[in-house]
Amino acid sequence: MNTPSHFSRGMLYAIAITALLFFIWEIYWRAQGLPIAYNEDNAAWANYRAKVDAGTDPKIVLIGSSRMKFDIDLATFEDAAGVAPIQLSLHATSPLPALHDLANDSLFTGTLLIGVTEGLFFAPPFARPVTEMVKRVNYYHHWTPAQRASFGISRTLEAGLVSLDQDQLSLNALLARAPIPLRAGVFSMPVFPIDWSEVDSRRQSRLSEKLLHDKAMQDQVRYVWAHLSMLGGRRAPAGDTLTGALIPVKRSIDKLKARGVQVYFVKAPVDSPFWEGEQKAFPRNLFWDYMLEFTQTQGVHFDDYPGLKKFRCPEGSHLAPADAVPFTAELVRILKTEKGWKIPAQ
Amino acid sequence: MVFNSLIFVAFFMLVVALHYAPFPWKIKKVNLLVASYIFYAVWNPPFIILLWLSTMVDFYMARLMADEERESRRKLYLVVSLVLNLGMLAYFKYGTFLLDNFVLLLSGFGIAYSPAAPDIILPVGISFYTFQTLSYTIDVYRRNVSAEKSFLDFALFVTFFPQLVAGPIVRPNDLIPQFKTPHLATRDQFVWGLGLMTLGLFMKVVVADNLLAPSADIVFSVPMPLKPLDAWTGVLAFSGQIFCDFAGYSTCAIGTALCLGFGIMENFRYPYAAIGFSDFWRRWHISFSTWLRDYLYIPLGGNRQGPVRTYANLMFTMLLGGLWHGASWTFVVWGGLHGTYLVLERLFMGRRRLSPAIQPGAIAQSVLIPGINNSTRIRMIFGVLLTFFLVNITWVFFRSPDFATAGRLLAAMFGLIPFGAAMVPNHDMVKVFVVMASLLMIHWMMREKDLVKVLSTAPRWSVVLLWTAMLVSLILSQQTGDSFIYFQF
Repeated sequence: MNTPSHFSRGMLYAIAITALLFFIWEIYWRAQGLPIAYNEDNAAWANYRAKVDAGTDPKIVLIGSSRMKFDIDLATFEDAAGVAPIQLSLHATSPLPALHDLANDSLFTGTLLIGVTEGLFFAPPFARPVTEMVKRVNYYHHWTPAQRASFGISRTLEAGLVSLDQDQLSLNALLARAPIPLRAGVFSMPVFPIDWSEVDSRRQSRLSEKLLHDKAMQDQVRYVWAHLSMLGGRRAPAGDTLTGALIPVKRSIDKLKARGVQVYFVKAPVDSPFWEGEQKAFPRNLFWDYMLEFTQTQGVHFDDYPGLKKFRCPEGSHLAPADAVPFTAELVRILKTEKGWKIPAQ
Repeated sequence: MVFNSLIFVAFFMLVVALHYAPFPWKIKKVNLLVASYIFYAVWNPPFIILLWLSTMVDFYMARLMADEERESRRKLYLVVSLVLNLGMLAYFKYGTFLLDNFVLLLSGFGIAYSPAAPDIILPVGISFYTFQTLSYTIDVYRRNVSAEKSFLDFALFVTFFPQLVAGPIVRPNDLIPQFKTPHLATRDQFVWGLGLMTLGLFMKVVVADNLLAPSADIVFSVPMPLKPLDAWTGVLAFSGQIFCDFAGYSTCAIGTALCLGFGIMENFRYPYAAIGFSDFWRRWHISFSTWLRDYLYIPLGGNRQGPVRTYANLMFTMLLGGLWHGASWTFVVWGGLHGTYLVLERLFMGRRRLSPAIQPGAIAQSVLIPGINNSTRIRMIFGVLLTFFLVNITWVFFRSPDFATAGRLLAAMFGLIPFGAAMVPNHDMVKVFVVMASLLMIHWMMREKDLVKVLSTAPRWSVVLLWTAMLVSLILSQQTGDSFIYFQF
């Protein structure tokens, strides 16, 4: 087969220059103080979803959106409950596809905590919050041995390289920062400051130290929530539409309960002005209370407990890592002492 | 296993290490065969049995055919091979489709029948390896090739991992002889192989998955009418995505094989610079279009039995070609549209000879000689754009999950929906239009050229710059493991 003349040397130069550029890129982000961040891709979710089906012992599973990931401190939960929870929540997604998936999984027994952020929980079926979670669920059910092996290698690389941060430093994430005006009436995922949060290997999310001390960065993230809240508010279902949306939720919860799974809804703290916005778009009596009654399921709403509502969210929507610890301990206490939660025996 | 995965990097390094280790040639071939089975099995291990079955039956049927003089017996052995291969394909790929249509047919006669839903998983690459082994048994039956005596060489021909799951569909005469003597790549071949793998991965990971797929996914999944701009953006995005995805796979396959010292035919030749549909099919999925020509169109009579029969043969071939891509009527319509275009082109060409300006020689001349007159060039550009426009119409059916989506999109593309929704963000729109304009430009400029020759004469700095840009963007994309679109076929 013909080969281009002098290509070999050109290719070697290209490899050398690429290696040098990558080294500089890595050093630059380390110098900026960016921590190691683990990807939140399909494989990372599937890896934890697989733990639900591993072994026959009952599990504690968390589903929901980012508030479950930031506000529940996994280590504290494990200390308080004596069992390590499996974090299946995902930023900016609805928990419903995961709920239906777990309901249909006869291997899952134990406890399910469902985080509720109404704008995401009640997102329409073709909207991004639902489709993103559906993608994860489908990926898990078709997860091949080759993909599992690739995930293992990827995790090893992510553990050592700061620049392998898919959410903030991948090609598409960088292109999303290009100064192109937004298109009127079209949803665009807002751009976060690069180092506003971090994710560890257990899928624990934390607000970064930088955000906790940087008011401008907090405001920048608040702007993102404001943008998303406005979109969420416009889609609030009501009446028969709401009941229709809750029928499959109840069906799945009934399936879980029939297997002995203990199910609880959790509404995590949110600050002004978003709390007021959420109350307006999703009045508590029409949504939270109605959902609990309709599904015959218990829930913990932060606003009902002084020990949960005393915390402030630095950027309006998530707790600081230091506050996530007492919040989680108090949540576990409430579940055990007031909601009759029996910790699954391991 | 897919080329765009980290596990493939580890796998490939191991395969190369074993291939260049000082083992006898036969051991190296066994290594390649075992590696190919592992490559396939790590997707879904049980389906390796189908591959073995196909290999065993075709090997022995061909041997029996070779030893048999009686025509009826030879035909019987061929039929056994055809029934097994096409039977597996029919069951796994078309089982659900056939059952659904059977139920629909019965309901047309007022008979209510609701069978249990079949739970059939499509074995990856079954259409490709089935066609590859069929070409072998048919060629042996036709006495175009002699039956292979070495089971190892034949098994390696069926299973050779670079092209196993998504082609190119290699002919026995092109690959089996390469297994007869020791094949190792020279240093230049090895590095060029790596260069092709880089190019193929860039097309797949960066262009198809990162830059184009998001827009195509949005537009083809929303259950509502769209604005014309959004519909066109999604269709153009898919047009680029499917090319870069599939041609990217073929390029990786050719590069991987070359690193091991084997040559595989090219599968794409800048198809979006085609002028007309005969030209398009000489440039798109070449190994498939030549397979259809040699094993379907010509045996049907080709163009030897008058114009009407020729048109019927063309249409039948393209309809089956459409069905090969997927068990859905939308794929049949896709094939039917290509068949219609080919028939119309033939009709038009038969009545009015192609203008001298767009004869193949003139095309080459105009591209190679900058001084060619402007009106010729403009007519050629018009021909390319018209062909590209018509190809895009066909992609609507190819990508749409159902006719309702296809109809909604076509209506939006031609401005027939007054109040469509805007769905594609500006960022994605810019990506699609920049990529597609660049892609069309590259295809136009490379229309009559050969990449190897172009790179041989290009300044070294430009080659370094190009491959550095591709490597950097590949690392930046940080995306691995997405399947190639053609895996599902």
